[in-house]
Amino acid sequence: MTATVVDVWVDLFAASLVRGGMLRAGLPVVLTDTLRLLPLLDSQGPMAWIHTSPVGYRDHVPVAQGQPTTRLRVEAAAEPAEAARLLRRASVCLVAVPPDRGRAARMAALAAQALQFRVAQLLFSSPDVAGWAAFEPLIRQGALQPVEAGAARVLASAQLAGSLGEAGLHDAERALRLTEQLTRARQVDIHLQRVGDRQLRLRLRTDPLRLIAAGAETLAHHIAHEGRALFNSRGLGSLLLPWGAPSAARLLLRNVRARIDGSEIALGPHTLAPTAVDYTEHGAFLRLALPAVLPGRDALLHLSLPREAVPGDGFCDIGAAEFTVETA
Amino acid sequence: MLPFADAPLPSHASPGVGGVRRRLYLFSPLPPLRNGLADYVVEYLPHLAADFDLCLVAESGRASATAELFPKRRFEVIDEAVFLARQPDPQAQILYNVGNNGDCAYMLDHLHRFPGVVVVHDVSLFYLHQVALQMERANGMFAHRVADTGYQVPADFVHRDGSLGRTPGLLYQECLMVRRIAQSARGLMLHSRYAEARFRGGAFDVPLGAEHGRPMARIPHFVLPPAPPAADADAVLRRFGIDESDLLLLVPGFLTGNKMLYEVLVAYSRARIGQPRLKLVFAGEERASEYAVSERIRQLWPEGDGPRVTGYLDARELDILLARADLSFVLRYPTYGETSGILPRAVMGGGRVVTVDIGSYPEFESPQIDHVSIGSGLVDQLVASIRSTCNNLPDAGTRALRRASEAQRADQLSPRALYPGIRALLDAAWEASP
Repeated sequence: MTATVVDVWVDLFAASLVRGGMLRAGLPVVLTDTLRLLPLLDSQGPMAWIHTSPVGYRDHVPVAQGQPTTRLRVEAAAEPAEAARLLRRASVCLVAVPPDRGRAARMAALAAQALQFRVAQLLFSSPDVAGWAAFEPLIRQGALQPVEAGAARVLASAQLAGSLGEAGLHDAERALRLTEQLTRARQVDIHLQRVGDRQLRLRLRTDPLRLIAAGAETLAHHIAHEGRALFNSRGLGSLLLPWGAPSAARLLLRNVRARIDGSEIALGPHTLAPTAVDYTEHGAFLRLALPAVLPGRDALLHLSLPREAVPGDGFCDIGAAEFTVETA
Repeated sequence: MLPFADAPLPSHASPGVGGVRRRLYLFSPLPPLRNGLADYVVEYLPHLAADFDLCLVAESGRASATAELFPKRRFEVIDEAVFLARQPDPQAQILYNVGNNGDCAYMLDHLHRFPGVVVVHDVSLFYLHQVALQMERANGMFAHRVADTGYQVPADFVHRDGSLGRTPGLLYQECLMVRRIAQSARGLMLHSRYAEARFRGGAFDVPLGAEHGRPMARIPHFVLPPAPPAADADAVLRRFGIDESDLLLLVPGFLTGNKMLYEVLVAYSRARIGQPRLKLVFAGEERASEYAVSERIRQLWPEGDGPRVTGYLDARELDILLARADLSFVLRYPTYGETSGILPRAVMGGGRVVTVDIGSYPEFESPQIDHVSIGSGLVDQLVASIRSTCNNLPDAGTRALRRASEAQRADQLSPRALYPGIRALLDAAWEASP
C-alpha cells in the first residue's frame, strides 16, 4: 500500500467508527493544511475541518429539504477561539501531518489542545514528511501507538489503536462491512471490490455538490442558492477530489453548448487531457485519469471549458461524479 | 504573430538574485482582445520576460488564442485553471493590469485571494465591478459592493434586490471600488499625479507606501517612438477617402461614450461652412452601445457625405492617420483621468491637438496642444481651434521639426525608459511582502 492512499483507509476507518457509535459525543475534526475531503466520514453527519493555512475556497454539504450549507472549515489563525472550541468538543481528531515544518508546528500545538481534553487522536501521513518532527512531543505525551498501515505512517491514541485489531488500518473485512452498511442505508453510493489480500477497488458515486468548490463569493452564492455543482460564468470550475490517491474520474458536464475536448484541466503541477469524452442527451461525460495529489497541495481539480461551450444565459454544472480508486 | 516576438533581449535584462529568476504571473487583458490594456501590456512583455520567469494568465477559455499569437514566446501563457492548480506558489509574484473595463472582470476573482502588485489604469473601477457582477449574474450584490467602498448609492437608484436600476451620473465621478483593491494590493502603480490624488481619496483609510507593505509608484503611460514612414501610407489614406487637399480632423481611439463625439460632430458641421476642404474621420472602433456615432452621422448627413468611421485600426494604421491629421481631438468627459497614451501619440503626429483641461490631461504639456474647458462654450472653442488650425497650416518642414521635437521628448517615455521603474516597484513589493 503506498502512502498516497492512506487517506482512503483513514476515511474508511473513521466512517466505521462513527457508523458503529464507537466515539464519544461531538464532531469528528480533521486538522490539515490543505483542502481535502473524506467523503465517507462526510456522509455520516456533521464534521469539522481545521486548517493551518488560508482556505481560499468555499465548499458545501447538501441539506435535506433545504439549501446546501457551507462545509465547516475553520482557519485556525483567523478564528483561534472557534478552532479551540471545536477541538475541545471533538469526538475524534484526525491529523494529516503536513510536509511543511512551520505548519506542522502550528498543527501540533492545536492537536495538543485536543489532547488536553482527552480527544482520541489519529496522526497519518507519509513517513518521510518533515512535519513529523514537530509531533514527537505530542506522540510521547499522548502515548500514541504506531498502527500497521503499509507504506504510510499512522499513530493513534490507545482507544483507537485498540479498535483497529491485528489487520491495522487496512482491514478489508471492516471496509466491506462498512460499505455494505452505507449502501444499505443509502448514505453513500459506493461499490467496493476486493482485488488482492489487502487491496481494494472502490467506486464512489457522490453528489457533485459535495465536491464543487467556489473561489468567489458570487459563485458560492449561486451554488448555495441553486443547490447545483456550478461552474462560474466563464466556464471555470474547481472540484474537490475525494481522497488524494490516483483515481479514474467520470464527470457528467451539463449545459455545455459545444465540444469540451479542448478543456484546460489542471491538478497541482499536472495539466491533464481527458481520456475520453462521451456526448449524450444528458450532457458530456468526461473521463479523466487523475494522478496522486502531491503532499502539501490541495486536492482540487480545476477545469476550464472552451469559451464556446459556456452558455451566455446560465451555468454549466456537474450532474454526476464517479471516482474509482485502487488501494494498491 | 506580434512584432516583438523575435526581438533581442533588452540590455537591462538581469538574471535576478542568485541567478534564479523569480516567477511572475501577469494578469491582463491580452491579445487578440482589442483593448488598450492589452496593447499596453504587450509593450512590456519583452522586458518582463527578460527579467522574470514570466507566465501570462489568460481569462478562462482564452489562453490558446493568445498563445497562438506568440509562436516564439519566451514566456508561458496559461489558463486560470492552470494558475489556480499551481497555487500556493510562494516563490512567485503576481502583477495585475487593471482598468475600468469588462475584460478585467476575471481578475477580481483572484486579486483578493492572491495579492500582488496592481497597475491601476483608471481611478474609478465602478464600471469594471458593475460588469463583473452582471457577467456573474449577481447584480443584486452591487449596492452592497458599493457600500463596501464607503459610498451609499441613493435609494432611488437601487432596486429592492440590491441591483442598480439606473446609474446616477455622480457615480461616474466618484472614485469608486478602488478601496478593496488597495487593501489587497502588495504594491500599486498609477500613471499621473491626478490619478494618484484621486486614488488616495478613494482608498481613504488604506495606508499606502512601502512602510505599510504597499509600495506605490507613479509611472506615466508610455509613448511609443514614432512609426517609421510607411510605404503604403497613401494607400491607407485613400482607403479612408482622404485626399491630399483635405484638411483632416481626426478623433483617434475607441469611440466610447465619454469622448464627446456629439460635440465634435456639431463643431465640425459649423466649421465646415465656408471650409469645404475639412474632413472628419473617427479613427477607431465604435462602441455603439455607449454612443451610436455612425447612426448619428447618418441622421445629420442623410446624403452620405458626412464624417467617416474607420472601425478598429492597428497601431500602424492609426499612426499613418495621426501623421496626416491637421487637428486631432482627444476629449473626454466625464473622465477619471484615463491615461491611454493617445494624447502623446497624437502630438507626435505633428498636427495640432485639442484636449480637455480636466483629469490628467493637463499634465502632458506640448506647444501643439490646445486645452478646452468643459462647459457650454465647448463647441465654440472647438470651432475656434478648427479655424485656427485651418488658418495656420504648417509647411512640411515645420511639421517635420515638430515631429522630431516630440519624438525626442517621447524617448524619455518609451517602454524601455519607463520599465526600470516598474522593475523597481516589483522588487520593492517583493521585499515588502510578508
